[in-house]
Formats: sequence, C-alpha cells, structure tokens
Amino acid sequence: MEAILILLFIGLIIGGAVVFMRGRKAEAGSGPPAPAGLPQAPAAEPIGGADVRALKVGDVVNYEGGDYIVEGTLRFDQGGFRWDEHRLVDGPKSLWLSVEDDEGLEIVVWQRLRGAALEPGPGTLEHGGVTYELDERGHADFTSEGTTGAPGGGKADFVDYANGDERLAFERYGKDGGWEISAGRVISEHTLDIYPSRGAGG
Amino acid sequence: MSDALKAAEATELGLREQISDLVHARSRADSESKRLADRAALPGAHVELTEIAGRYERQSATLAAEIETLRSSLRAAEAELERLRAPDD
Repeated sequence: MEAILILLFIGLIIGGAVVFMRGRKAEAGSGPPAPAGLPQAPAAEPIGGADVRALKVGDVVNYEGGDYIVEGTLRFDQGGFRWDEHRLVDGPKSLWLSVEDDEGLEIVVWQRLRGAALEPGPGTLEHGGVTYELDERGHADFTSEGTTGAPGGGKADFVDYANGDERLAFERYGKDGGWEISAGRVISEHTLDIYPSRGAGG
Repeated sequence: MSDALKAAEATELGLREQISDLVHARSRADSESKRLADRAALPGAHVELTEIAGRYERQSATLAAEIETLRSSLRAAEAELERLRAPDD
C-alpha cells in the first residue's frame, strides 16, 4: 500500500512538471499578446517574393516595366549604420537604387547627373526647378562589388539634400575623387519586383 | 506553415529564378546582336555577320516572349500564395 502511495506521489510530480513545461513552451512561442479585439497582424512578407534588403549582384529588379540586372553594389557603413546602393542596368538604361533600413525602409531611385554645375556646401541648392535643403553630410566606409565605377573599397564623403520625396546627393570616393552627383526620388518598396539569381537564397 | 503554403512559396521562388535566368540570357543576346551589327557595319565586313546578328535579335525576342509568359504564371502563383497566407473569413 505504501509503495502504491509513493508511486502515485511520484506520478503526480512528473505530471505536474510536464504540464508546467508545456505551458512555458506555448508562452514562449506565442509572442506578445495581440491587443484585445484586434486581429493578429500577419508576419512581414518579403517584397515581391524576395527581400530588397538582400539584393546583390546578379539579381534582377523589375521597375517601371524594365528588367534591370544588378551589375554592381556599393555597401556603406557609417559607424555601424549601413546602407546599400545598387547599380541597375537594362540595356542602354541604367539607374541606382539605394536601400536604407533605419527608422523604416527607404528606397530611392537615382539618376546620375553628368556635367551638372553643382557643388555641395550651401544650406539650399536648386536643380531642375527644385529647391533642396541640406539634410546630412558625413563620411562612411564602403566596399564595392561588381561594376560600380568606384574603387574596391575605402572612405567616401557624402552630402545629401532633400525636398519632400526628392533627393539630391553628392558622393566622393577617396580624397582625390570628384563629386558624383545624383538626383533621386523615394519610391514605394511595392513598386519593385525582384527576381533573385538562382541558388542565392534570397 | 502548411505544406500547401511551402509548395506555393517554392513555386513562386522557382518562377522568379527562371525569369532572372531568362533576363540574363536576353541581355546576352541583345549584347551579341549589337556587337555583331556594329562589326557588320565596318568596311569590308563579311555579309554573314548581319545574318548572325539577326539570329541573336530573334533569340532575344523569343526570350522576351518567354519572360512575359513566365511573368503571367508568376502573377498567378503570387495570387495563390497570398490566398494561402491570408486569414480565413
């Protein structure tokens, strides 16, 4: 009788432990509770089937009807804050796409301005009928992959101007380089369709 | 994640990778077509170069049509994927 009671006691302890551990697992897997009365938001899905943050040389980006191949990528690092700039080419057409994920994702489509008589420095700059305000200036480390026109890596200076969704950027690679000037516009991530190169996993 | 959702994701990714392959192939065909057309325009160029350039041009057109066909399939696959991801009514 005593043995039966001991076995019953041990069984109760083991059963209780199992129930306790299952409860902890369920709690850990469920994440924070949804606000009462609201449906749980779905997990964020990649844009256009692939994540624009993972773009790399060889991927294809469909934008405004053009199938652009990523021919080069510049990766910047400013004290831990990182962003990428991709050179996209569709036959004779080319553009740059910058991807920044700071306080939200910002994607800008850029066109290089050749021969523009502009110098960075003043608080405001006018180009193409748009008045831009100085937004940010600084330095960053960069590395270059594929064909970008920039050296393989080093230091870059940049000066950014903005007017709403319009952008004007100056970038200089190395101390002896001249300023590369680009005009850009912020676009919605959903206007891009990404076709990753095979076997790249994203 | 359900098996149906996994399969739909794999189908969508596969279509995107195929489109990527074809875009690269079309780009190479365009590049060859232009290169050969430029060479064919040089003084004394062999007449066959123009014909070969035309072959690449036709290949590019065929690839462009295949890309559009795959893009239609991708749109259908995307819709199926979103249907599976969406909450039930």
